[in-house]
Amino acid sequence: MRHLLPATSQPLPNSQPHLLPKQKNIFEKSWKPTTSASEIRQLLYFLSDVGRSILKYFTMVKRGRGTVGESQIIDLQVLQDRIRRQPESHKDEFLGQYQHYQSLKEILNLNPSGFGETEQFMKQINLIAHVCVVYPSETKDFADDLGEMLVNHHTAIAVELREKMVQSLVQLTNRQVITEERLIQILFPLLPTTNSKVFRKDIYTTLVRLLKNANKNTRAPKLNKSVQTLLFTLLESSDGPAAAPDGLWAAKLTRELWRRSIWDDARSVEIMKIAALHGNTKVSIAGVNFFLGEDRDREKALRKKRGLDSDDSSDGMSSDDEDGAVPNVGEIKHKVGVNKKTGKRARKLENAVKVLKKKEETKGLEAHLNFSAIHLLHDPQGFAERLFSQTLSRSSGNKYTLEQRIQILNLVSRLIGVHKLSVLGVYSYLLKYLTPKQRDVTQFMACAAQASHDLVPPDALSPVIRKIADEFVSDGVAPEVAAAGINTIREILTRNPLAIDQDLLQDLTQYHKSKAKSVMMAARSLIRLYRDVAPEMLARKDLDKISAMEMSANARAGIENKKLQYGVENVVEGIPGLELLEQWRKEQGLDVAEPGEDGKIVSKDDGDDAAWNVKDADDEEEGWINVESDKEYEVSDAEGDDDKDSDDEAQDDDDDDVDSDVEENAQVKERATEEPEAKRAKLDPMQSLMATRILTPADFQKLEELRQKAGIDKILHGSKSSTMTRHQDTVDANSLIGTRSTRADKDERMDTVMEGRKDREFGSKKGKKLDSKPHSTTNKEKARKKNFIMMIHTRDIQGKNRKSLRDKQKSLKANIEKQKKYNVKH
Amino acid sequence: MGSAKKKKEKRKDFVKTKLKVGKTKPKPTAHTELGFKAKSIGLPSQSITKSFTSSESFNHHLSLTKHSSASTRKDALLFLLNHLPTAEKIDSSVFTYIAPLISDQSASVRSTLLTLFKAIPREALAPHIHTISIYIRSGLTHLQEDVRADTAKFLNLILKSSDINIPMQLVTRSWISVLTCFGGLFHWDVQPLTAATTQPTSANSAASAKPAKAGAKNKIGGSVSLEGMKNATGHLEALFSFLKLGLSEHLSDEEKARRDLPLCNSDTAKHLLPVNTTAPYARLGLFSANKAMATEDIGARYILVAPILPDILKTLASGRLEGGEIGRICKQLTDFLVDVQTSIESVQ
Repeated sequence: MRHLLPATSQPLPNSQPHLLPKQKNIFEKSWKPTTSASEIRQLLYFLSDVGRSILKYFTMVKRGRGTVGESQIIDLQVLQDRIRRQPESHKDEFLGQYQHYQSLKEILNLNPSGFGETEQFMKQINLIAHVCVVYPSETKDFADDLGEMLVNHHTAIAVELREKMVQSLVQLTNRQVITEERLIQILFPLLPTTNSKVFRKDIYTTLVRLLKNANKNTRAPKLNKSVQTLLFTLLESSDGPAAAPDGLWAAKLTRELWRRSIWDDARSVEIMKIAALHGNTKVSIAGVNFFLGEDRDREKALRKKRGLDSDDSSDGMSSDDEDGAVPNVGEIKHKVGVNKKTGKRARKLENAVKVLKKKEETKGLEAHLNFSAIHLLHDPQGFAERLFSQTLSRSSGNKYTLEQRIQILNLVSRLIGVHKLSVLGVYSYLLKYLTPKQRDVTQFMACAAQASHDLVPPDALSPVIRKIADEFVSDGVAPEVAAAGINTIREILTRNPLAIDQDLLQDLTQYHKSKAKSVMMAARSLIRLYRDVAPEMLARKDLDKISAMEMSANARAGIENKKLQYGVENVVEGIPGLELLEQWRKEQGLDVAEPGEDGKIVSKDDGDDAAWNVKDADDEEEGWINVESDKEYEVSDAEGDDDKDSDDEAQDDDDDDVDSDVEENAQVKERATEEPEAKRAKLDPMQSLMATRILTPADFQKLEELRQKAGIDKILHGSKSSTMTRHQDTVDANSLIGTRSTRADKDERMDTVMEGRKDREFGSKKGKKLDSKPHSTTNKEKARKKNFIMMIHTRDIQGKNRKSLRDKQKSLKANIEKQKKYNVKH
Repeated sequence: MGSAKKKKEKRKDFVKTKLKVGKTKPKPTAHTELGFKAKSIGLPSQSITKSFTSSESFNHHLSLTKHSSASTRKDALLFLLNHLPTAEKIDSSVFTYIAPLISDQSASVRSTLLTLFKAIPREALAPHIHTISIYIRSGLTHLQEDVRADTAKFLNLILKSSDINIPMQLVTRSWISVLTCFGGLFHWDVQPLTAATTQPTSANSAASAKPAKAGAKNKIGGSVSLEGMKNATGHLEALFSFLKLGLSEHLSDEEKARRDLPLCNSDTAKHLLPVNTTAPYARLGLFSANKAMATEDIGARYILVAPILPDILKTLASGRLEGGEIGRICKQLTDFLVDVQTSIESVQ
């Protein structure tokens, strides 16, 4: 407890005896003829002091008579104000109030639910909380009392009183009467125990705000750690066979703090990990959802902070596909130009442009996002195994609904994909669900794709692919089913190309002739993938020109085709097409000197800075090589590894000229013993250039040009293939279905129409208005409901028979007209 | 036409809904919407026209004592006064309703309550003294002066009760807290008392010494003047009888006789179970967390009152100057307390 008097409220000298010695002293001094400034100042101080004490004295006298005094301080607000100004002189009044508070506290403890003086008590608490800094010794039990009352009676006491108590405790924390840890210790146990939703929310926001403020300028590791320990214990204490959902609050709090980037360490991830493995379904799903959605949460929060978008109401899976699908503005523009101009089309274009703009704006955000929680996990293998065995295996029973199981499976598969784990049970588990009739099968398919990576044994994956191919891809199924199947297989094979055998692959590729566009496109993308990855597995007619030529050249030379191998890492050797640059430089006469004297040349090149500051009109990234984060590049040191052929890119680049490459390869084959030497010979030019020169952006630009000229870079579908072989951590379930080419049939259209009509009302407004209120029957209603027998002898009815032929014809015509109108309407 | 439509609708019930890839499962046909809307809910068991028994109407008026309107509260109290049941039927619920009205805002309610308290038979009052005393304490420390003034009347009513067991409960169970309340009223320094309640160890003597000094320094104009105080007589009377009860031995003739003739220990009767108390062992704190300091024996009360005696005497000295009724009571109380002080000093 600190006793801090506010700077403005200096305690006045209260008693005359205090003044007297000082007075004497100063007067003694003042007799002497002094002109020192300091003494004059002292005198002035003294005079003002005297003045103040005289004033004080008069007020005391007045109070003594009882005309003006404490009895008139009815309003606690006034008392509070006076205490703030003169704490010492109002101590008695305060103590009186404190006693009253204590007696009210006793009443409260006696019968908390029937406590009638809530208003008064709240005022007392408010007063004491405001001025307790001034009287620390008298009010030292105040905070503990509040905490005790809250803990014991929080269910019984009035809502506003409870709120006031929490508020006062926060106030005490802000004034450093109690520590933040103490406050959290008081409030946190209430969170799971209280049954009031409002109170829970109140405490929750208080806690979040507290932690936010504590971490505002600098991190508060001590507080964070203690709170995290609290959360750990809460999670662990409530775990067990009959686990309570108390831990949900731990998960919720952690997720919120993570979202606000207040906590971003491995410890908080560990909390969520424990939550995900919790025995209670709610808690574990909260934990799983955290890992699945935390990136998006954070990004949204960050975006909001920057004011990029006000509200993104989409949640869950729906925002996934929003992220994935960027509308093709060019296509829409074209359509607008060609088709009839309608408002709908114009709006479509507008929306597409808006979405694109938003995408552009958020591009920069990704750099700011820290490591995602999945990356910060400690022991991901153990986590994935436990999660799988605890929640998904048969022993766990049917504790989880299908949706929840999908979520868990999604997390497990993402863990497997990101960390390249081996949890082999997942693949056989998936087999059960991979049938077209299965509900939410696309989600399972996406999980299957996510769970595959290049270190999964092909034996484990191939049954999955076989199952998908059998169940989904046949002539009898609907086109979207087949497309979903092929797309899923492609996604799996992108990650692990060895998981399929040649026959099955060639069967699947035959679907590129399918009439359904989505199936055809899916099959084509599969072909494109294998052209890049393993062209020898495709049928000859599916090969493209370059790989076909290469293969035939290999066959002519009698070389066995390069084959993919399990467990072999993809490596890149050098910069693709560098030897072209070398050659070009020689031809241009730029490299006149020996490599040893290159220093000069470099400086000569550097003479014009233009070489470094090359700016392209169309794309500024052109000169740079795209380095992918998820692949390991091994640059230049090729001595150790003897399989340079597994990598597709390396393969692209190695052969500057197919023929020369073939020749060289032939030589390599012939002189197997001298292979390393030969390799060195091949790598030599590359190394010589790389070892001696620093390539400028201009060089890279030239390199690009040369590669285009040489035709070895598969420019035409290069961009596509590069995106194909590069895969993402997550697979979007909706993208697996593929594009919809056919127009919706009548039933489907009617479905959408009916769906739109669901909430609308039809019929006349007037009639409804009449129906809604109690009313007597109108004349029209009476006439309509009147018994026919009663009407039969009226002139109107009788007259019908007696009408002339012409009149009859007239009325018949009118009737026909009326019918026609009616039919048009309905 | 209508029939075709109907037919179509009928047929629709038996068509199997298709499951589609990537679509959510449609709701089953047997799905029942459980939400409901209702403009009003009828409760046939409730009726306006119903006669009440006497106990029911008594309870109804009990609950009316919490009404927001002062006149209604007063009327309710008057009803209770007129329909007071026998002593056996007055239970704690009555007091939980009426005791909070001691610190009521309205003076008329308080005066009615006083008459009601007077009307309640002693034996019915006796078991609930502790409950009432809590509210009396809250009234004594109330912000409004007239409430404080009226509370003294209630206190006097209890203290001057003919049955000595009733006020003795106050003395034995809440000696410290009542003295603290008086301290707040007359502006004594009650730090030693509160220190005694919070930490009953010997360490408090050192801790309490310093604030006591600080408190003495704070007193500028001495203690509060009794002249300006409303119902100072009532307060002083209450204080007098309270101290007198607490600080002197009350022996019946029988006990005196027993002391004179020591067949067994003469003080045995004092340590027997007190009559008419609900919780005779409450001071031991067996079933509650907060242990009040035991003031069962007169010695403990002496020790507790000793540090604040000078303050009390100072107040009384200023009161004697006022003369009149106040001066008379002050004189009597001073005489009594001087005796007490001398006896304390002689013991030390």
